Amino acid sequence: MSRRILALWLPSLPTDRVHRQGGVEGGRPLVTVTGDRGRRIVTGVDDAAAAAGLFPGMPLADARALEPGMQAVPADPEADSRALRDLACWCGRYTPWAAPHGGDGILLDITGCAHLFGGEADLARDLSARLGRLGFLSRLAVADTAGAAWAIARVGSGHGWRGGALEAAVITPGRSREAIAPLPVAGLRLDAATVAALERAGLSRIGDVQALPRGPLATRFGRRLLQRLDQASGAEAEAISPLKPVARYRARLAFAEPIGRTEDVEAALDRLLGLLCRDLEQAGLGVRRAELTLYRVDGAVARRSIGTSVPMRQPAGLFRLFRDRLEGLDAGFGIEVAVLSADAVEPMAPSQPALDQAAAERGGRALAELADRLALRLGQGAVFRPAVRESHWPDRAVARQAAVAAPSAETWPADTPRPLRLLAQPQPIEAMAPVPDDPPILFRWQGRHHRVARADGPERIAHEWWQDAPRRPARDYYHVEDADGRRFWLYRDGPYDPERPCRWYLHGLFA
Amino acid sequence: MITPAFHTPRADQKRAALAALKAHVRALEGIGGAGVRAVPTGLAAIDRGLPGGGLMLGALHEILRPAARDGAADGFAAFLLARAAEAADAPVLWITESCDLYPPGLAAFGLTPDRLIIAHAPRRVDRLWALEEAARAAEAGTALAAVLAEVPQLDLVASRRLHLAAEAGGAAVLLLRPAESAGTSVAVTRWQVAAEPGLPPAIASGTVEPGVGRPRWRLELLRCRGGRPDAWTVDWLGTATGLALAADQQGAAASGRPVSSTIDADAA
Repeated sequence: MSRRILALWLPSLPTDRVHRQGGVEGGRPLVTVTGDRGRRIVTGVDDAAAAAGLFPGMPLADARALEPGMQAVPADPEADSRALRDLACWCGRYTPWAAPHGGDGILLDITGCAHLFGGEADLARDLSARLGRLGFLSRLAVADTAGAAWAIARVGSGHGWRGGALEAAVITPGRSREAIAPLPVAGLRLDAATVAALERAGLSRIGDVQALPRGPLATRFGRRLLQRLDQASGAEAEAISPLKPVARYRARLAFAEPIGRTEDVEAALDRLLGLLCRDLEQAGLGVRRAELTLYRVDGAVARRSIGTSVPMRQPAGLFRLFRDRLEGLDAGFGIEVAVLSADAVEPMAPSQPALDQAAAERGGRALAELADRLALRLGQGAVFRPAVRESHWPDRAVARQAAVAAPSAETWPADTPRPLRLLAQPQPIEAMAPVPDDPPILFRWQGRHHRVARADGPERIAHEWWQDAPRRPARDYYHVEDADGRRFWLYRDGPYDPERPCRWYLHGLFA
Repeated sequence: MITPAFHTPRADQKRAALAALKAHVRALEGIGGAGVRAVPTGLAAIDRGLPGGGLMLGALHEILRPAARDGAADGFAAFLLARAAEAADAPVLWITESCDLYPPGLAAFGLTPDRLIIAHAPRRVDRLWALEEAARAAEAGTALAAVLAEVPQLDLVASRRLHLAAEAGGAAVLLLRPAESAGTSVAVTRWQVAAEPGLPPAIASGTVEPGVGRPRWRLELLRCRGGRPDAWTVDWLGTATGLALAADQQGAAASGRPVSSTIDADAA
């Protein structure tokens, strides 16, 4: 089956965007302007301005002379490309293969998905009508190749329309080469210099160029011309790289009436999960990462993604993960289309464990699911299983493993006392330690005086020179108990040195 | 005065009816009756007074720590969690406020790394949410023996929610909170743990060595639904032995008199 590409052109993207964002008067002609070597040039015109005879490229002064009532706003190419990207994103409601093309176009690979919309012509009409309701003028064409569709959309006969019904140019499969032959060479996506050179040579139509031998063409006009010709005819493949990788496993739901209530969204999610998990079951796969994309009526796109620590394909479990993410979802005026995609999958055994293992496995799975849900809200890395790390430096002795990691029986050596709480930052304390190399007899922490009744130590812990800045002093740790029985882990930064005052820190709390 | 011979049968009936009613009320209150499951602390003097004979599973418990920061309450909490984990052969979840929980120290109280999962949630609402989620998750078959969260403020409604979640899930749910913020709650037990000056090491051999000995705690059972408030001074003797009554309290326990008299004890 040949590929079918829809090329979409937004001829007045800059002014449409400004209108959509508001802040300008609806009735008056609108142009966008940019500075060019001290002159101000019109770059975009809306319908009203075009009707008044304004066109892109004319100096602003001339435009003002022609149409004194017009309003001018500075051009903002970055905002335009953001808007284009958002629209391409929104086009994901039709096909996952949608990508911005150039500064004012979008290419959609609609191979195999047009039937969902009643055919290619209906799809194109629907797309154009929706864009029109969003306030964007559009021209589009469907052909076998991106090159041909682009040419027909840009320079083909036919008019742009704003939500009106106009036959979209749909070229029958296999006839793209003929369809573009009568079009001007500007439709070949070439730079202006090459187009001018072709026209000077009397080659004004694409068909004229197609008829010529390839060798001389390449020497005279460059290899780029041949490449564009081949791309238009399909001799050379041209990939559309979608905004995000397209998942192999996805499920899609379109709603006759836009939905907005949480219960409806959850019901849709439930159905999508049912569809997706059935496919995954057949393929023997489980989800590691999934994304729910919700296409709103107003052109906005909401995405919610989840990650799991073990492959999953139980709809109920995935539903619980997603439900937490749906909190605070703004449905706007309603959601028209919902797409659920499994962005990362992993092989997963069929769900028929042996009976004696069933309970344990269910427990493990439920634990994994709980850990995933906690991690979704608390952040990755916030839920973990502590593990031994070979390091005598206290802050580094604990490694963090995934909560679902197989527990290891290894534990820390019991011969040296370690506190239950280790402060992230050792806190400086005022300590009175009259005898060198002895623990303090009195110290002050958090505004409270502690008289040391008993103490153990010192335990000298040296910096790991391969980890830390060199030449930092070792720490002498003391395990002390105050008169009330409270126990602390104190250290002196560096060995006793009569030349400099001792600095003492409190680093941990014992039981 | 009624003669015992005349009265005994009716008094027995009365007592039996009363006991049945009490058990029924307890079951309604969610603190078990016949089917209550509990994990013994291993110290008979404490277990004797607790409903079910230990730390009740499927219920909410509170551990208060005194205003001045120390690790005694953490130690007792680690000990209880370790007991629950051991009994159920399942891990426990500790939901912390700051990242200062130090597993090498917890391991000394039996809470070894293979039994412990830590969730770090700086925001209070997240900790409460995580606690309830984890408590309920046991319903779905999660093998979690107990869940603990460090939660300062908690109102009665929230505590009731947590208790219901604990009942539904079947795991012990513990709150670790500062003593000064403790208001009313539906927790089955409320403990307060404070450090006491410990015994010096090697006192058995008769010589007192300078140095830090075993931890000694003042354990106060401030509230206990279906049991009696009480207080003990206990020594932590290591994972092999567990808790033991402090030496100077053993005599009092043996004579049947609790060291601290409480209102309930007096009434009884």
